[in-house]
Amino acid sequence: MAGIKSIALPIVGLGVIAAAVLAIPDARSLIFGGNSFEGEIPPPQMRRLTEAQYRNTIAEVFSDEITVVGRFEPEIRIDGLGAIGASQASISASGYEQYYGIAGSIADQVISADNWADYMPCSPSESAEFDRECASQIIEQYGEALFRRDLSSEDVEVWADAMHASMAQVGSFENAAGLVIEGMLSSPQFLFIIDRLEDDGRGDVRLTNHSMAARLSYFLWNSAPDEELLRAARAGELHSREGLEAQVERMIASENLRQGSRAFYDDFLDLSRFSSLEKDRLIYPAFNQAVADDAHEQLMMFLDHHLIDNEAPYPSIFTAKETFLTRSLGMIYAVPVVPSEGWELVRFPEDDIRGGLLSHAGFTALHSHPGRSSATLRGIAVRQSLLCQTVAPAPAAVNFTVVQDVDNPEFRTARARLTQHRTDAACASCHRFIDPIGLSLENFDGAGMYRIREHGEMIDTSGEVDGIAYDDLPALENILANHEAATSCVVERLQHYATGRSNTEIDSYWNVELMRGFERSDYNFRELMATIARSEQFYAVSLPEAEGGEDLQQANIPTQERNS
Amino acid sequence: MNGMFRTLICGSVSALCLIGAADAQETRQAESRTLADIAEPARLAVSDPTTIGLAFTYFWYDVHEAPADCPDGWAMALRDVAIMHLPEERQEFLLRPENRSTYYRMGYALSAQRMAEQGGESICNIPKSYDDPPMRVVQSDTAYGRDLDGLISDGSDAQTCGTVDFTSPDGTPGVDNELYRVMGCIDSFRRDPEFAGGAMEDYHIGSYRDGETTTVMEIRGVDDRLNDDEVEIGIYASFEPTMFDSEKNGLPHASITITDNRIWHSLGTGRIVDGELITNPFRLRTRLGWSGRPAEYLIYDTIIHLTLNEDGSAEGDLVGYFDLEHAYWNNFHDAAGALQVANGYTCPAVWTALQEHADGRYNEASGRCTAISTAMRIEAVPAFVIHPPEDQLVDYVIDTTEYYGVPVEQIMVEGAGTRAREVRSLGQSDEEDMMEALMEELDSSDASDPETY
Repeated sequence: MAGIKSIALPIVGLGVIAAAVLAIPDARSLIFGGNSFEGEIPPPQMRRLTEAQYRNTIAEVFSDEITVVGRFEPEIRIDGLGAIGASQASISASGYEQYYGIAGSIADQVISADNWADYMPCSPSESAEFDRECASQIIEQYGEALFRRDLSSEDVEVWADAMHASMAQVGSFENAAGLVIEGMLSSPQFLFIIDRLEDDGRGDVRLTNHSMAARLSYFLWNSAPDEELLRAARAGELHSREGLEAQVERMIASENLRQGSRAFYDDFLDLSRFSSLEKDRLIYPAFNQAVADDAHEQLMMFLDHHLIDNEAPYPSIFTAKETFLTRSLGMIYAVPVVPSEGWELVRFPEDDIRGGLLSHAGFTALHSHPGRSSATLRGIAVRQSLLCQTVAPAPAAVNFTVVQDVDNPEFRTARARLTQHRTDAACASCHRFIDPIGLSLENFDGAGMYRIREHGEMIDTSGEVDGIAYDDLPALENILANHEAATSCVVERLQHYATGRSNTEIDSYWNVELMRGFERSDYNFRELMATIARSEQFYAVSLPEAEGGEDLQQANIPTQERNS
Repeated sequence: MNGMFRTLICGSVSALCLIGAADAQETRQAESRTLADIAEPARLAVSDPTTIGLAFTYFWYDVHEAPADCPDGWAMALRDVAIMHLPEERQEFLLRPENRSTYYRMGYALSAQRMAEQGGESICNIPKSYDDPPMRVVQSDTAYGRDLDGLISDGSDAQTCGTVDFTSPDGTPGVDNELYRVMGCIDSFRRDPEFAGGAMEDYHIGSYRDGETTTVMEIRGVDDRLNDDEVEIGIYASFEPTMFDSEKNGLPHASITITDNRIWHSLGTGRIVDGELITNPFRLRTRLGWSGRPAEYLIYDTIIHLTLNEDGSAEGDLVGYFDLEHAYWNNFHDAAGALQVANGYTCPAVWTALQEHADGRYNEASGRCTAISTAMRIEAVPAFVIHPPEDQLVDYVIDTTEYYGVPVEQIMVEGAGTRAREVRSLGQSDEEDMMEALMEELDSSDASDPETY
């Protein structure tokens, strides 16, 4: 690639992935030119595709008719986000086998006789003959889309030669094309979103247009760049403010934004845990897989409805009264749901305890045990996920007997059991911090169903948070809605989610700017997404300072092998 | 918004209307709905506090079982008719547990033979065609139920067609429950017989559990759940399933849309006394579909007693006079002939017994009773009854001309249309397939050889 001083070169070999970056010292510059913000500029990244990103990408590049079946590498959460974990994750040997299997399955579907004409730009005149021109068209089309970069003529040549060579083994042009698709899908260049740098013409580096497109697209749409974004990247438009602004505006207005917003909610609230959510069927007979799936989807729809569709202020998610129900969820909420199939938009009365995020079955059931509620898990979820506060892990050798014995006649409510538990000095300080919030959610059992008594005793939901006393959940929700940490938390999390990194120096300064903008926009979440997508800091990248100079291990690998 | 999901506001008593029935055929076809399809503004997520909704989780005869009920043994099935002329030692041989399959096959063969003799017509459509031994009926004088006619009949009352009342287990005399007398010695209608016991109850209750039958009830205008002088009630069929857990317990708080067919909307009035609903007599007509049959409950002078529990559940009983033909079709009709083999009755015998024990709706002209008293037990969980919009309601009866062999006019309701019967049960088609295979086997066998024919 002409003009590139530095290139990230991922290598897969026996499950080991390494990134080699040829260092250029003292390169510090920004995509828009000039250092218009403070702080040290972060290095480039390799972010492993999440499962959702993988699926969305396949749907974008091929179509949603292509089925993706397989097991993905587990998510790694760092500093409260899978997005940060993804930028530090590798792929294990067994995980790579899975990706390889998935790639083969996708390739088989794409090149099948029924699908060939839909997905391939051309067909060979003879199946048994190698048609280099057609092969090049296929490689160029899918190479750019899957590797999220432009392919050089040398790249195309390498892939075409490999395809030609494979025909002797696989017997037909179509099968050889399948190998190309499988190879691309198995490549780290596809499995990782790799920041690629180029000379900015002023002695510094910047993200290539294609890497900017990828960063933008995976943030806003959680998917690969669409054709229009790729066109803009090819035309070099993303390096201009106007060009970038046009794409951000288009993408923010798109229905695809829901893919991005939902991916963030999933990460922000750690909703991937729904996939393993289990409830004791004897204790909670109404809670089944359909309820779990709907409860997950309900949270997504609830947040999108308020934050994306209505552009309501972010704090309103704590006090909102409108949400969506299915018949399955109606049995948990004990309210009628009119449509037999699908969702109904409902509004809870002002004096109803239901409505806000915390009262959703998806929140209370997720942060519970299989057979009982958990004031502690719920309290931790609010503190950590929604207020970005740190809760120390439980000390070793804690005696949980009293808390777990829900049928103890001496301690009939969670409050009574936790009060007893706090008599252990080792537990007291953390539980004083966590429990009051969780105890205010005790009107919801482990499946998220409303109750006013536990073992016949009235449930007391009063408490005190950060020095403010309150009587019940609605009062707590109001406190949280006005809590500074709630709004700063979502800004910080979205910022980290977008960049895939924990706080760096520039992020701290940038966070202050974003927070001010968020306040000015009346806490408009959609606008916050757009602001981040437009920010120079979002694309800021510098060359890392490699210790000890060149990576000799990588340097010894022939260039062609590194590129393959 | 998608036209399929029109928002319709209706003024039904329950204040809940169905948004967008896919069509009048009440299909359960899933429709994918996007946010844009969902009706706005939001509907208030509350239930009407003056309405009690219930979904039946148990609706079956109140069968009292005592050793003295059937001193002559259980009523005869077709399998028994098939072997009754064999030598006694041969009968004993066939009745041994290890020979049960042969014993049953003889019953199936007789069933197929009779159908072949009648040109493929179900014998249950022409029950007078065979003169089976008389039905063994309950001989004891104790049964569940209630006094429907204010009489303590000893067999001399013309209005009750000479039937004799039972006494309740609690000693209350005058209990009218002649359907129990007819079905009380059929092995599969009871639970205590060693083999086949409980089969009919399981068929019926199973049809609730597998979603084939759904019955819901509304008590409206409830100002006080403990005592209310006047409430309205409605019992409705639905094509949506009642929800059960893995332990077969009904799940509360399901929303269930009732059928758009007004024929299966039964309305009445009642009162609540000390937490017990007591209805005034009303006519109940609702569907029951077990094993694919197009059955209906048509019960006159229905009275329901229902204890309304604090947790929203309810249990109690339903008594009334079951229309004689519907009682026959609902409980005994057997299109393919297999039920009469596996269960202790034959259509000819039970038809005759029903005529003999009918005790209600005396017809002056014919001098016969046209309905038979019954008592059923109800268990229900709280549910939300969703009504289709008024303008989507229709009236129709299922055309069972071929199934029951009666002209549609016989079951027609004034102003209603007809709809073809839909087989909703895999069990029914299996049964019909089996009988077709038996018929083919019979056709290909040598009629002169008693060993194979």
